[in-house]
Amino acid sequence: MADRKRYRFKDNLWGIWGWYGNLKFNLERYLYLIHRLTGVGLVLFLLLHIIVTSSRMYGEAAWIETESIIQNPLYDLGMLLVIGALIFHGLNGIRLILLEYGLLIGKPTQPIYPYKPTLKRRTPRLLIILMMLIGTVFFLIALYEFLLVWGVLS
Amino acid sequence: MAWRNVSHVSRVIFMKKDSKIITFKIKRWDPGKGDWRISTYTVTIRKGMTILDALVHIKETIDHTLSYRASCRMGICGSCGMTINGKPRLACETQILELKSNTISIEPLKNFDLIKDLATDFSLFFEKQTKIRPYLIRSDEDEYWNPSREYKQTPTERLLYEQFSNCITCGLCYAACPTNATNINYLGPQALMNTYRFIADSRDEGTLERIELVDAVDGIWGCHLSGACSDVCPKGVDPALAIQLLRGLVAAKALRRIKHKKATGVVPPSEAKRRKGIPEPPPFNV
Ligand code: HEM
Ligand code: SF4
Ligand code: FES
Repeated sequence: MADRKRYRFKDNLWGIWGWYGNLKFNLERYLYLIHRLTGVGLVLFLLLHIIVTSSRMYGEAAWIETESIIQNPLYDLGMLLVIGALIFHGLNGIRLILLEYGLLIGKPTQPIYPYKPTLKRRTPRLLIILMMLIGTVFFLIALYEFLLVWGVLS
Repeated sequence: MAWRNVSHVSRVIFMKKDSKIITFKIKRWDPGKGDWRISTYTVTIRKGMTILDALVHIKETIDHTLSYRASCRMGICGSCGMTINGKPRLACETQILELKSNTISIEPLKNFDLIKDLATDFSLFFEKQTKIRPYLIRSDEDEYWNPSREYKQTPTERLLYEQFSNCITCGLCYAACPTNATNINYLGPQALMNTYRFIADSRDEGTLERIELVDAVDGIWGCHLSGACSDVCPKGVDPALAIQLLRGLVAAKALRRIKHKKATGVVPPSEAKRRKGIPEPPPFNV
């Protein structure tokens, strides 16, 4: 413990950079990063959502004014991003819940070179593909709705 | 003289194919000043040379002040972990030409205390390793301290933890883990993996105690399954797998699905008889 004061630990911690700065790791590492970013993004959106809808408390006039502010394509685009984030976060969250409790992740084996961690084997990778396929379908449906609202499609 | 030219030409061809001039950018910690400095060395590399070979070469012929740690130079002692081209690797197991770059950056292993240059301090890492009680926990005290025979274990039972027992405590997983990157109290992939290694061992009876040790924010719940530990592990230990299996057990205990595990006993006495003509062994002298 005393030694730790003599050396300077903080100089060699990877820090927040360690979450996302290094681009040399495996696929799951990126999903980890996006999951965290979308999670924080969703919390921020939740705050925004509460602020926006709380204007309803101040009467009809305030609500109409707020609606006129949020009814622009930029806000809609933001909403589309939020929906994309929610779809990713939710589906990847299901994948994480399964794997993190030891389901579908595989069993210990005799390590034979070249080593292949279970995460890179078939079932966990298929799970990623499955989730992302479902996510794409959901997102396309959302996109279709938005294009209808914007009048691009009719 | 013609033959000389020929030999000269063939040497050039040999040089072109099998060797390469590589620049090493080594980020060094200066404990006196308490700051970093970067040293650059240019070395001609032959095919087959590892990063450790290059470091030995630099220390012997270019710069005697360069410090690093290594011992076995064959991937078994776990002392030569360092950040090579941005990824934690064993210096002795990394072929330079396989990195396919002309400039190679070497830094100390991340998330560890610094001693000097590339040498890092593992005391906290080993403190955590000690904390999770990396030995068999058993109730048969007499047999444990004065063993009369071996503990029983079938090959199938052994396979449940064999992979995890291959760990060489090199700390690469610990350096790659994004949770360790911001939380020095997190037990880390190695210690958590080792906890599971002992729980999965049929000779161990400490399941419940071990689960209590790791059921904490800085324990099992610090893992977010980025899988980086298993990506960098040089021994195929797959700590990410062990951690998720361990988390399954922690959840099972919360649901009261785990009871105290009774460990296997000792192997029954051997019935074999000495064949004729084979002499008795000499008496023990140590
Ligand atoms: C659709 C349903 C959702 C599911 C299935 C889900 C699932 C998960 C899971 C499993 C984790 C832990 C991941 C890990 O081990 O690192 C997580 C983290 C998180 N979630 Fe969700 N989530 C959902 C919706 C949301 C929503 C609506 C929000 C925001 C209001 C949110 C915000 C977060 C945040 C901030 C984290 C922490 C991220 C981190 O530590 O990396 N999640 N989610
Ligand atoms: S689990 Fe692998 S990377 Fe981690 S300390 Fe053990 S051998 Fe090294
Ligand atoms: S020198 Fe022993 S593992 Fe590299």
